[in-house]
Amino acid sequence: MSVVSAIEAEYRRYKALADSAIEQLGDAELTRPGPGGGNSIDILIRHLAGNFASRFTDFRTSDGEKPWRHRDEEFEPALLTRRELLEKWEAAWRILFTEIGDLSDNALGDTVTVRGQPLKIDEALLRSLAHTAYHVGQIVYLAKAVRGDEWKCLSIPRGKSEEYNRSAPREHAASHAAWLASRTRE
Amino acid sequence: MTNELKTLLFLVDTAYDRASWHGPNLRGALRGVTPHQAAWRPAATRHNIWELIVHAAYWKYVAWRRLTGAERASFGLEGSNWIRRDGGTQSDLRRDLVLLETTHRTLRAAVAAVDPRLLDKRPPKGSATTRALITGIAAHDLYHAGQIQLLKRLGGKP
Repeated sequence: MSVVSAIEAEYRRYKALADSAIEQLGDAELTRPGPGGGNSIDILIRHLAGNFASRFTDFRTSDGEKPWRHRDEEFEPALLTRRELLEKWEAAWRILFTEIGDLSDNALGDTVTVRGQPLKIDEALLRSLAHTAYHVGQIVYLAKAVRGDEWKCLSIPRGKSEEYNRSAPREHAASHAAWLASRTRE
Repeated sequence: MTNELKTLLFLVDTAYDRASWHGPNLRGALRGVTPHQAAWRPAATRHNIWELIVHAAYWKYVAWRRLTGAERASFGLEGSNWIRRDGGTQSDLRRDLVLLETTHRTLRAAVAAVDPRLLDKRPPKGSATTRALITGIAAHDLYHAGQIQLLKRLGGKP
């Protein structure tokens, strides 16, 4: 497994986690403000989508913070339908996966810039992955809180750890993502 | 140390306690958390910050075992994965934070000692490659760091 494919597999794991959480929510639940006036799930989705689109459009040849990105607006309420929101989300992921798909490990030492700051490509990817995991964790926790007892578990349920450890199919990021996707289709 | 290994350690460090641009890492999210905050949960069936601390420590321990193949080892607590925590004193919380720190240091040392030629091989007790195991456990810290930040905002007053 190359460095790039290991990173891509983790991205796919976190996308699948977010998708599986989003799929369990109704339209109103997506835009419900977080407790204490915190970010709603749709804001987190738009923030990640805006970040991906900006960072990964012309990833190797232009600065990662695009002049057309309006980051602050990502944190304001938006009148998007669920379909529009998910189109934005999927489009941003497509940009990311297309760029990563074109990368080889040989390019990881090359330099890109974000807000004018030079970064090696491997560092830029890992920073982005970290940012993604951070916010997907929030999406999943908020979604769990909204669904309560109706929540369909995305990881190892309480009391099932020993069973998991015997097979450990989800240790592989790709297997975990595939398992989540299969549950979403159930 | 090779650049590949340095990069993986960079991810492990920034996810846990090295300054990072994307927001608080796991240790940063836990800084100043009180026992009251740590025990607060938004609903009876939801995990609290304290349980996330122990959960993160548990998976660092599991990752270390998979990486090193250690046979005779113990996490130090009864149970696995999600271990119930309903509150306690400052020293109870500190004990679990020390467990997290200790498991992190142990795991980090094991990562630093990895033979770079084996990054794409399965470690002694793992089913994923060593590289995937290290990348995955670091991202796991951040996944829960984001949740801890959320829980602090949701309701746990100091």
